[in-house]
Amino acid sequence: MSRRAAAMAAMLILSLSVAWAAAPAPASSSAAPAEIVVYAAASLRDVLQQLAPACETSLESKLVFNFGASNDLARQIEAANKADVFLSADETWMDHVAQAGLVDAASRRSLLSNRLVVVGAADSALHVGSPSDLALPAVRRLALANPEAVPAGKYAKAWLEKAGAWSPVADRVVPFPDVRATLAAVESGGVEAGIVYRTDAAISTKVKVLYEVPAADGPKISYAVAALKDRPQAAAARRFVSWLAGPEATAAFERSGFIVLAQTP
Amino acid sequence: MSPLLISLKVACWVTVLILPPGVLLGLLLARGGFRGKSLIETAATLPLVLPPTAVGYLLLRLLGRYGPLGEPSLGFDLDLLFTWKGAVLASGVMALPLVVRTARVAFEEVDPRLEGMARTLGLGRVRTFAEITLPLARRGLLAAAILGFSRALGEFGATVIVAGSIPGRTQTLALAIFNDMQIGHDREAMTLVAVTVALAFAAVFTVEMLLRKRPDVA
Repeated sequence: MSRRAAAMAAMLILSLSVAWAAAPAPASSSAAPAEIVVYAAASLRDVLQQLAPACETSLESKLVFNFGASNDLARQIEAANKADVFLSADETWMDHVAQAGLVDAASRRSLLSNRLVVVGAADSALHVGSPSDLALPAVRRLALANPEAVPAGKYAKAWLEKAGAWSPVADRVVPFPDVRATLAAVESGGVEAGIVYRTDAAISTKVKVLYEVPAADGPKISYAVAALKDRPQAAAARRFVSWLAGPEATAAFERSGFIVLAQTP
Repeated sequence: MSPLLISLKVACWVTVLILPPGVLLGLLLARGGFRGKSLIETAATLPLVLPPTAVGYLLLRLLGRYGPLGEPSLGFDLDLLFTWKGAVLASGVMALPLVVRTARVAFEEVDPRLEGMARTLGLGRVRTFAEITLPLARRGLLAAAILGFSRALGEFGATVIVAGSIPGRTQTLALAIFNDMQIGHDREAMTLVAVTVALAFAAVFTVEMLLRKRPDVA
């Protein structure tokens, strides 16, 4: 009995491994569309997913997304070269990847900008008229994307430092791994306020904008995009990067609240 | 406070808080024959098999502003979310099953005939437990405590959701390693990994020594 069970188990394992080995074969045949793996900043999740069908049709390629904090993505790219395109929410992490020799420099451009907003839960009674209001006792906890590494958090910290409001709020900061986790923390009501991009606030019905940071007061926000080197789909990746600067993508970015930067490399 | 100290503080509190209910539940499951026993047993094991993120998320919803234990519902603030007490709660829930299961085995290994003899010799239930059962099960119970402590020390998923990763306050060893990795501080991450390996080695080694069968000469 037990010998028969063992034989059956062996058969099962064998057939599964055969199936597994056989499965990828059709995908690598010439008829399959190119697959472009895109590592993109968490704040781009909704707009890119919205653009994906049109883009896939236009480029005759399949897009595979990995969304996350740009610092995480940069470290993932450096650890294992599995991405074709990197969309970073700041220039610093793109520089990091470029220093590792992984960026196709000719394809790199500064694509987008954004604005920071202070948000509270939808029923928040908090009034924020200036950065120093975040030091009020009513703000017991302030959610930020990790200000040491995540672009949204670094921008937020830079704004507060410039306004002289960082040191009074520093010890009430609760850091989150990316900007969407920061948004979720504000939505859940676990923190009184948080700082995210205005494009994040716009996708949520559970938060309200308490304060929009004027462009002149905040740091320069710049999203960098580039195709990555030594990848099988290099040509498709470069076409994708150009497509993102085209009219269809530009319109979608602007509808979502992003600022499309003039194309000067 | 350093990540090591925060971890030790959280793990100590977890051990102290979950040992009494864990041991009691272990005893109940080892000795009691009652209806719904396997249901309780399964429920007490759940955190061991559930993804820690599921446990963390449930706790977050429970304690959050709009949850049944949130400030508006209770009328006062438990102040657990994003505090070290929240880390104790989250890792306590995750560590409880290990304590219950280890305590249960410890009690099952105590010969019930010895307890029976004590009872026929006139000892009451409580004294039988305190003077016969507990001393005989002590090694297993100590192992239960150490396992609970170690589990609390390493907990990540539930803790990061409930307590956040606030440097100096809720950032335990496990969270600090992840943070250092994310921001590219590889040397610091490796140092913390070495610390956790040493701690875990000491804990597991002690448990192995405690659980090693030794002919009990009473």
